[in-house]
Amino acid sequence: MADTMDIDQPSSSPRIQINLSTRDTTLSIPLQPLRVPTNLKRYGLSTLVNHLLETPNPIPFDFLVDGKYLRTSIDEYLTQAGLSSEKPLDVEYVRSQLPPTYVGSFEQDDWIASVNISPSSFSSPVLLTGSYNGTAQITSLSGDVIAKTVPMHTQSVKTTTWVSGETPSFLTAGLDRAINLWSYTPPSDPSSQTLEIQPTTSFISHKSTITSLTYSSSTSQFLSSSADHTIALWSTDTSSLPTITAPQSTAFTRKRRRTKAPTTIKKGPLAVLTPHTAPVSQVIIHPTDQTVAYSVSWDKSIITHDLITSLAVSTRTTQHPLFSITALPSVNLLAAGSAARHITLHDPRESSKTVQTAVLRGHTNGVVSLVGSPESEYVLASGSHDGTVRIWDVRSVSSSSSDNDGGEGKSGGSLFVIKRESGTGKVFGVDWSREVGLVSVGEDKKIQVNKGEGMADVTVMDQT
Amino acid sequence: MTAKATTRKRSRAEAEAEKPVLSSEDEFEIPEINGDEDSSDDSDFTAGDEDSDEEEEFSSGAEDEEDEEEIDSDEIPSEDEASPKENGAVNDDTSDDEEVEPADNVKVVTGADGNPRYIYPEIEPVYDSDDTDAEETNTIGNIPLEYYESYPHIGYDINGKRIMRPAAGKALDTLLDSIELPKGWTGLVDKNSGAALNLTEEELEIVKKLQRSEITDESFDPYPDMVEWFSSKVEQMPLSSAPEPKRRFVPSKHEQKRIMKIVKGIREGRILPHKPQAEASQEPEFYDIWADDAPPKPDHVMNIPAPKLPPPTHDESYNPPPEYLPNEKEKKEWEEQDPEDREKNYLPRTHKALRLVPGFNGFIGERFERCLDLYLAPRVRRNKLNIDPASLLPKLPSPDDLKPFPTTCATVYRGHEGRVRSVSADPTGVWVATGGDDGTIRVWEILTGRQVWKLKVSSDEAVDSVTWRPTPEGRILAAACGNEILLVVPPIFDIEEENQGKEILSAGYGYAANRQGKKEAPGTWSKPDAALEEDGVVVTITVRKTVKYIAWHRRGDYLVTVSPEDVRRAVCVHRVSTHLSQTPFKEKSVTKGIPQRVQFHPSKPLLFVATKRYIKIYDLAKAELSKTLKPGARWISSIDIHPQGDNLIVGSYDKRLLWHDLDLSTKPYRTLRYHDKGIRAVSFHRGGFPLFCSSSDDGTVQVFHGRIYSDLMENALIVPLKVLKGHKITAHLGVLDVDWHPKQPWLFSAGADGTARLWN
Repeated sequence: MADTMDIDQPSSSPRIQINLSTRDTTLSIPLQPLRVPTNLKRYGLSTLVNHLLETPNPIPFDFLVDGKYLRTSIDEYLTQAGLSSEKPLDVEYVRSQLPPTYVGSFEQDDWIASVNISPSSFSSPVLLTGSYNGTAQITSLSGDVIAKTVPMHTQSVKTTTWVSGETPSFLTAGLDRAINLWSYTPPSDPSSQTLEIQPTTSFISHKSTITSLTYSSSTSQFLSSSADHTIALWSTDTSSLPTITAPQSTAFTRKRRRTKAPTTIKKGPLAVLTPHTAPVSQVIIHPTDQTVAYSVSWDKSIITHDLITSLAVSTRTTQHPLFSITALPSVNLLAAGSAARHITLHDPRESSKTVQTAVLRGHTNGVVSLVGSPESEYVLASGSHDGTVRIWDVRSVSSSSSDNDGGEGKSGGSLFVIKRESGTGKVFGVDWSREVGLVSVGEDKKIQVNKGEGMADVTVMDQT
Repeated sequence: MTAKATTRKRSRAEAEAEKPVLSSEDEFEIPEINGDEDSSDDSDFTAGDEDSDEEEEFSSGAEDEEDEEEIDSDEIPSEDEASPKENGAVNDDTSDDEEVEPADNVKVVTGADGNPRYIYPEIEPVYDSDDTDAEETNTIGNIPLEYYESYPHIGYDINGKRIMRPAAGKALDTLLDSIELPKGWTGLVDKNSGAALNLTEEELEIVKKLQRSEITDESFDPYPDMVEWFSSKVEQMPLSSAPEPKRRFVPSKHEQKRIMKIVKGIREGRILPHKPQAEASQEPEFYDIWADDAPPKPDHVMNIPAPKLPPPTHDESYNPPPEYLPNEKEKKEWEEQDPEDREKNYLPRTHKALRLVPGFNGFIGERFERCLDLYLAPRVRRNKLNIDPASLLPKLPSPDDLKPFPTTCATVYRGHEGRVRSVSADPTGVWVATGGDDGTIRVWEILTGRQVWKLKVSSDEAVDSVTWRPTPEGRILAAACGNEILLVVPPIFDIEEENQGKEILSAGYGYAANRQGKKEAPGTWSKPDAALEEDGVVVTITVRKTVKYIAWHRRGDYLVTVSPEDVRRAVCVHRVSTHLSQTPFKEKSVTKGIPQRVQFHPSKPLLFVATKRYIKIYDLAKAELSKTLKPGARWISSIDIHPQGDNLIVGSYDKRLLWHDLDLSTKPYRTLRYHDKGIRAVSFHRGGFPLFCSSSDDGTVQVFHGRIYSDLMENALIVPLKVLKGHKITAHLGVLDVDWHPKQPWLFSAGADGTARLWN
């Protein structure tokens, strides 16, 4: 190994002993101390690890030292941290998260509230967007509007979700308190005219704006959260739902009369969960255990629900109103975006003693949308009202003394910041898939697609 | 005898009549008077006048006319000195100067020696010149006159001749006399002359004057002509006491000489004018008390300096070396010597220490203390007051410990054209309503800033106030536009809720129908036109003047409005359930001053009316004024009541934010003066956070922590937390309204720049 150490490095440079480790079992190397020159940067270390792994194609690696990405040479890091080069340094190497570069953006005629990338069952991925003009659109990756809903919603659509069944369909909900189920058949000819989609079922229970929808494929159930403090449990199997008759407004507005809405079957919920005392901002179903749901609310709490009994299992109260949540199942973490401009990481398990494990800081406004990375279980993306999408690595957290409201003493910074190409405007929704990349929508009426690709970016990243 | 008496009386009367006009001609009478027995009295009274005349005569030359009675010049001692001179002069000038010659009065007789002899007229025997009249006085002495009653005389004069009793009239005369009493009758008899002692005219005059308590001196004029010293008349030669002008000054030669001497001295440099005397007169800053007492005196004959004393030698020490100490023999020898013969007047003695010298305690010790006094040596070390000034400041908690509170702008609500006048968050905390100068009411989604509903109320008038009904049921928004109050149910809610709200508002139409024909109410409730009704407006209330502010009662049945322009009906209370408007204050005097804001107490039946300077609290149950607060502000712009109801904040256009503790005093408990311009709106958080804020024309919103303790003895804790900057100042207007989110520590502000903002 001594030979490896000295690979094309001038022997005059001071050296330091490092212990390389990784959490990725496929990339592990036998534990052995290495002496490397301190003027090595990320690229040098990455070359070293690739050399050790003897990979046919070089994999870009990033290196975490004490919860921080190594962005300078080891020497500079030691100087900054005030460490001695005599002590061995523990270095964790991870697959490099590629910086998402701007791919393109597609404009719509109103603010876009939500975006969903079609499930992997689709032959070609499409984007489902819910718009403030009360419609949902399906856009191909080339920017063509494939399909559009008929004006069923009298007000803005706030949330959408795909329903993966035999026939692909999707759900929309928004300010008009109704959830509509639309079935969508991908047209054989994508370049044909915009398809008009008709609703099949309306789900009516909520008294106020519906803020989020989440669908569980294994149980065919979906959850909706609303600003009326409730969470409703529904099923796409409409036969199991009670049929209701919605009350009509005594005085129809001109707008309502003008937009002749199609009649649909109206269904009531399976159950209504009311553990929250403030508008519920988002509800998600656990990705692996589909009987568990998590919800966050303005009342600062994260509540774990058991969908079988429709009961709240546990409540974790944070210090700030929460706007969004996503689960990172492999590391047993819940990430919640808060009104206090940060993302808090929580361990939802009963065994966890602490309310939150770490705080990710960087946003300058409320974090309203969170999505986990399709490639790494440690990475997540967040969309915020400050007009940026940020990518975070939950491993990259370190204890810092400046932390005063995190409580648990660990905080981290973002890996990348993606700004809106249009300049300003709030980001309302993000979604991330391997094929499409990172999609974000917002106040600028645009769907923005970013994707990390290619090895060429690695060198670029070094310079940043 | 009788005849003689009457003649005498008459002559005396004549003399008395002529006295006041006494002149030089009257001297003819004088001899007669002199001879008369009464003359002493008369002459006494006339002495003053004649005396002065006489004096002048003498001074003018003594050649006056006088009667020719001979008198010996020797007898006039006063004239002795003047006469020889006069004589000489007369002698010299006799030939040529006729006027000097005393032709009439002076008799020239040839003396025994043949020389002419001047005989001067007899001098008037005035009081101080002669006492020849003493001869006429009675010499009997001080005995009663009764002794002479049987005699014809009453006494003897100085020559021994009898002074005859004046003739006493017969009984009839006496009777007549007693009947017609003569003027000045006293009934007394003169002791000297035996005649009736009557008062003269002058005496009577004096008596009268005495009776009138006037000054008896005739020469005194009690009523002199007034001299108008200060009058409107401009005198040609004004009377002035101004000092003589310098131009009339005649320089003294002696002084001239002395001045010239000084000038010469200055020129020669002997005398230095403007000599800097400051150094000489300046007192030294420090006195060298140990220096030689007297400064060395100049060498002079009279100055013999004291001889310098030789320094003390060893044997004068209190502990001299042993060789200086005298032995027994020397001691004895010294003692036997005559004190005058002794070489030195002491014997060296030894003491172990200075303090053992006899008399040390009383003498040296005291000297030492005195020296310390002179030296001002402090005996006690005084500890300097050592207090950290920062410790005297009140201990305020750090704002970091008082989180959460709004710090940054989260959302900007854009859409209004013109100023946003009013902002209000709905009770569920999902929507926020704004009203602006463009005559629209807009409802926004709180987080995203999306406008979800808009109602154009008026094209020319601004929406001055929007307020949500504070109850959870029935989403009703009250908006003031011009002189109309609109009660709106925005069609953004659930249909059930919307219908509930419409029912609440429409229920009062029945009451209104029954009330037709009664006296004119201050507000007219009416159905809006179809277009507005479709947009969700259920009721409009029309009052007389522009409504500037609306406040709901906590139960949502009453709302109170302010129209400051309406003098008589500025404050109006409207009841939703019966569609009835009332003016709680019938007379103008009840709410003196223009009402600015009104507010219901959050729990008690109290109405707070803020006029320009005072806040009046009316008890609605008793219909009386219960308290008047005097914030001391010049123009109150807004008030808000703490949700617990015991505290009040007042914003004023003179930049002050005042915290009132209603239990404490009518004066503000705390004045916060942090804004640069007038405060437009103040607001308490009502959802459990101890926060309040003020918005100002300086474009900022200031957030404060205001904690109230349940312990009544503890005062409220007020901590300034944050200045929220973001609104632009447009036409000198900044942030016009603020409202808190009902549950979160979020703040809404309405700016004159056409935006409303959310701060969290």
